[in-house]
Amino acid sequence: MTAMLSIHDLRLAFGEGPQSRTVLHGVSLEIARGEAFGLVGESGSGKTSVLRCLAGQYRHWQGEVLMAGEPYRGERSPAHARRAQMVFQDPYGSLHPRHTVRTALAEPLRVQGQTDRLDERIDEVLQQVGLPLHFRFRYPHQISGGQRQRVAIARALILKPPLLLLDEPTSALDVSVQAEILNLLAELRRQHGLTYLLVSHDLGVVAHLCDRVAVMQQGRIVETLTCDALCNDEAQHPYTQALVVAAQA
Amino acid sequence: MTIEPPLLTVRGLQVAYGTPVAPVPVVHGVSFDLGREKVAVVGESGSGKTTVGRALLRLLPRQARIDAEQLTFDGIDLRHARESDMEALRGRRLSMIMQDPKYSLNPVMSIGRQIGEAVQRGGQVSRAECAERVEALLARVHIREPRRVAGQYPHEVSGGMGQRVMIAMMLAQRPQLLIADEPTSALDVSVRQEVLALLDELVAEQGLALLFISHDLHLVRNFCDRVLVMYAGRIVETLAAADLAQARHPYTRGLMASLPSLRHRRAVLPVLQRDAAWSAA
Repeated sequence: MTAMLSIHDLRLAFGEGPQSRTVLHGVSLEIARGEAFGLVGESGSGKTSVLRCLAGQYRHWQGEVLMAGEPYRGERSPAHARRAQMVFQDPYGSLHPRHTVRTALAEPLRVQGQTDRLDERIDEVLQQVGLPLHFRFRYPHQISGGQRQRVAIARALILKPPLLLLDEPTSALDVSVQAEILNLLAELRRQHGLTYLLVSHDLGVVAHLCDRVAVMQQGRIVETLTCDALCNDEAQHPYTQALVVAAQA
Repeated sequence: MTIEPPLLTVRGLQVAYGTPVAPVPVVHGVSFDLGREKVAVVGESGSGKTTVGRALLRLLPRQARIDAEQLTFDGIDLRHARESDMEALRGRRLSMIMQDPKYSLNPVMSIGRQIGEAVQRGGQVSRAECAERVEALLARVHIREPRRVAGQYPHEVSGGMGQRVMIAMMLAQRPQLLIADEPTSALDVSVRQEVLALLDELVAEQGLALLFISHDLHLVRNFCDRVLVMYAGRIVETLAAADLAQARHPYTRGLMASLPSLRHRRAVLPVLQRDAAWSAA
């Protein structure tokens, strides 16, 4: 079985010369096809930076990335968009306020030149994320936060990428709505064999959705373990143990 | 020993927007007492938690109409308090810390000057004394280099530090009641523990009454004494924080059940099934 995503010695720095500040000090991880992998850590630990490198938002990183067996060097090509898509934390900020749901969902297809069966594809993806079809005429301000996050997930899914990069997809939502979105993500992974790289500060969310988790601190992975081990208090690193204690508090 | 009357008594608090002819009520008859304790208000966004907190301090927009059968703070009837009376109470005896320090601090004023303003409100002091008090307050909230931080601007400090700066401003005067609106939800786990420890210290040492608005049930269960659960502008259940796991109301139980947990992993999280009767009581 080949890995869906393999990252070797990923390094990222901002600024030049003496002002330079390194935010990722050689991150390595491997995610199997169909696996859900969590990345936890505090703000500033570099977990979102890893996602941004993979999504092509940061392009000046160093290291080796293989996506579905092919090398990735930071390009933002149509082919890359079909391979990996990102879902952001804030559904209020990540949808264009003056675009209807339909326009937002049609955008990736237009960019890819896949404009035949446009409405059919939009209906299909709305159904997948559990939104009524008439929602395509709504604007983001006319729907709730949880529904907006569903639209963001639909937009990520419409190109049928095998890999989803999820950046705190539920932390802006109420717990009741969070449960719905987590169930949806678990169901979509089961149905379509998707691979997830999920960034979260909430260990409960990671343990619920993921098979394995890496704990980051100051730009380094300090520990990688299975979520079963995490839940059975088998974490070795003191920082991971502290996170577990805090999550149960 | 006589039983102390509660510091704050709220009976039948109503808040409505819209016109008098077509009012849109957002808080429907909320009643509770608050003594020298830590009471949490929990509920989903839109349930009216923040509106209740702001109504007590009369910090709602002008269009909001606040009505109550009783609204008493330390013997003062807040319903009939004039704006000048509220000015005298706000900050000095009744204080509020807001959710996001990024939006609540003045971005173009140094941290030292902002805290200094709060110090000066408590009574005019010399500049040197004010600076000294500011540093002492920053040290009080466990900021390591108070002199350096006093000279910084809000964008130069982290979220946790910004939150502590707001607590320092609140401490510049000695309020008896503090309304904390999601004071830790923007913070990382480790910083969150520090801020909570600090609030705990204040409740224990200064006999502060704390109304803690939060959506984090885990946190509230461990940190607070009592919990008021709000749904659609009503308090649907009041219970001891320790009993949250044994909550009776289906809404509270539904919220508790939908939390992913490290201890009890489930394939599918139960989703809240809302009942129209919850908002009709």
